[in-house]
Amino acid sequence: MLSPEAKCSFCRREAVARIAYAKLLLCEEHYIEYIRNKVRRTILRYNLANRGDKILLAVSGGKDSLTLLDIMYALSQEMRFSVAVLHIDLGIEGYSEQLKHSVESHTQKLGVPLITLSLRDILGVTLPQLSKRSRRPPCSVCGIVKRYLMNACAIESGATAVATGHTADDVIAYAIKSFILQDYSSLSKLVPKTKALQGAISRIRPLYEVYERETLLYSVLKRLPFHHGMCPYVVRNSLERHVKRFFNQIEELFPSTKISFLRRLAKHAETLTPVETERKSIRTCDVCGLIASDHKCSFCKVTESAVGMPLGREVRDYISSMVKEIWS
Amino acid sequence: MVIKVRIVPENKEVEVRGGNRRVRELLKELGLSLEEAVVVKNGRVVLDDEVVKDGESVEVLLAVSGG
Repeated sequence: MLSPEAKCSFCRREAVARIAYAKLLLCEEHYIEYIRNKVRRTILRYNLANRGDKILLAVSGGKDSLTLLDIMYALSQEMRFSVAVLHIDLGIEGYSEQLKHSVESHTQKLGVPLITLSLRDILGVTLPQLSKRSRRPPCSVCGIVKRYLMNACAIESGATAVATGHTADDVIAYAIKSFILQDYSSLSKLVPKTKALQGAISRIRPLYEVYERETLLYSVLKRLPFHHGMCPYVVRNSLERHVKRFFNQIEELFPSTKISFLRRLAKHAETLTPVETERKSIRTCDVCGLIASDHKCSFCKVTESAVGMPLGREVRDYISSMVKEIWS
Repeated sequence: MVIKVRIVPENKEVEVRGGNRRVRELLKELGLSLEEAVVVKNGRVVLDDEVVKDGESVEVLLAVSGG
């Protein structure tokens, strides 16, 4: 029997984490250091951030994004790049308030600049209302709104990249889902860093090799004020959820499968894709000037169908007035 | 006697009978792999090999994202 006497592989303290793929047992302090080092190595391996960069962190208030904030803040001091936080308040009753509180609490503690964009303030409607009025599923509208606001906020603030808290498990789930659906073009987007295009900022995923269980344990051990709740609109029986469960069983039986998968995905994603075909369909929105696959971007289309006019341009102007001197 | 399990964020309470068992066995009985949860006993994170005794209570924190 190992525990409760199991000791850290680096010191004599009590172990709280087993890293099966690295054959390590770690105490609280060495676990936190290990995860931070993992993110640092990912940044260096995939050239995600350089000295002088201005990185906008998209933080929802859950365990993954608060881990992203906590680690990127620490690394920004050491690697000499700047960070600011963007939080999008979707106005989902009984859920969004708690997430907002989590983000405010940790940004305040670290002293990181915070931009909060409330859908109610910028569009006059909440996410559930936007979904209802545009007759689209909440998760689809949520994705469109978040991607648009992250990109717009990064462009208007002069950021060099947007960082999201997508974990290894998220990327693997999207990749396998794309394979199951034979949607190879989506695979090209599942890289640690997407290139900037006209009307679109570069997106980076510093938690690319960090497992979801690892962000949970990091958040628990560091006592981050994360909101551990479920969005009321979450689809519990989604293909992604089944894929995550399946891959977690594989990882338990064959530790490090996730990392091997992701390293090869990062290497081959773009070559697997009919990139030229995709690029031809990329253009800018006639209304707001940001990236689109049609004459109007999805955000302008959704807002037009929900409130009667495309609001991309207005939203960009609103954000522009909010983010002045955010990096100073 | 039973082992009382609280599953978070589902806020589900489960009672497991059949005596002492290791954390990994407990998770398996709940249909979870080691990659899917963090287990906390008396406010302390416990390893998969640690034994949970009959009569004790644990919290199982699920790792799958909520949004």
